[in-house]
Amino acid sequence: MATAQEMIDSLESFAQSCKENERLTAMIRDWNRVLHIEASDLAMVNTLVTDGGIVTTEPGAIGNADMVIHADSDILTQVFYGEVSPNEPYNDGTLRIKGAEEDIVRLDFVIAMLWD
Amino acid sequence: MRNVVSVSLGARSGDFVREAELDGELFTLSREGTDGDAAVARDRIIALDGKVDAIGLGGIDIYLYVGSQQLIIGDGKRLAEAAVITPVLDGSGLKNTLERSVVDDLVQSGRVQSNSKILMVSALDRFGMAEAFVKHGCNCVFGDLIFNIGLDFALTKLSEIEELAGKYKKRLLTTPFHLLYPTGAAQEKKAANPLYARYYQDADIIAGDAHLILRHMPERIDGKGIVTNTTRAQSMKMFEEAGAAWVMTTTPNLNGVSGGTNLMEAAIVTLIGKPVTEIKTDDYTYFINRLGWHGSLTDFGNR
Repeated sequence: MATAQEMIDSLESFAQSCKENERLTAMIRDWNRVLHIEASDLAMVNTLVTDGGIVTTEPGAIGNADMVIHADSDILTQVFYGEVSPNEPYNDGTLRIKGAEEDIVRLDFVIAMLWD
Repeated sequence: MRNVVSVSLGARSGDFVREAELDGELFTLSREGTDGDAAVARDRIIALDGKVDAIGLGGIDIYLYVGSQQLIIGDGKRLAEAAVITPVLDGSGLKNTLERSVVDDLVQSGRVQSNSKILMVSALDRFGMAEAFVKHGCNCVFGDLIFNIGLDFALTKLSEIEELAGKYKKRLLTTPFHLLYPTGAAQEKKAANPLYARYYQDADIIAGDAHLILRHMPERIDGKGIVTNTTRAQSMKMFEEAGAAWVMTTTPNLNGVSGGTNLMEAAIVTLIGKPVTEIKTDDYTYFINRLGWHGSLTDFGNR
């Protein structure tokens, strides 16, 4: 189980890495979404916003979510540090999403471009 | 009589049975869709294993060849492994050979020129065709991010496709295939995003997977050429009514349908007569030439 701070660190690292990647920023400039990231074992929600190619993160559930990602904190930190593709836990049911399946493919693409 | 069956994750509405003579041998070539149900496809492959000469696997790939990289689609590989006696082919060998030569033929006929603007809706699954267009100096837009992932960003270089292949090499082993490519009824569903219509409109020629082209095709594509595979009467009608000038299908016409590359590759493999693991590109090329396969052109006269 990750700590709350580790959860926040993984999202901030993800957002920062997106910002530093100009090409990725251009690729996702039209993918504007609000994502709520729910860590089931921490009873914690964080928000990830993609807007005009810029990715930011904030604590708490901010705004209306286009997609809710729900998993335990270990899985979520691994996903946002690029250690695991979100498709894998999504496939075996340990990561659940509410929202369009297409968005999990886009999120996976962003992670692939950043970390792989 | 040789019996070759394509088991496809595509819609059953595209099913057919044809007889054809290839290299002096009579063949029954059939296609059985499973409406996207992988369990049904698996059961059908098991039922056919050892009873037919070769099995094609349609609507999903097993291998993608991108430059020097071989990518494995996990879902496709697992389906193919349902057969233990009969070889299962996904068409990747033909894509890497026949589809290149079809582009060469189009250049020779003048339909493709060195400055032609090409939209390949997806190049990761047809890198051979992409390389052929680039070799002839065409200006290519590869729509992998646009039409497969839904991000409005055009790739224009083969090296970008190779980079994408590298990024996805591990992921393709575990990603559910339906997330990346429409299967079953989703193949018939239009999903044309008006934002992406400009990619079709800017191109002289639209190339790649027929389902993907049709799924994202805007209402009008007047005067455009199409280079694709697996066309049926219905898809040809859709291209004609949208104003396409011509359609080149990369596999030969079998009395009104062009079989998928998987079906035709499965047929060729029975002629090559080697274990699949020993078959080389030259074997495909030899039989493509011997059978005189050069794709199949339909000119609608729309300009």
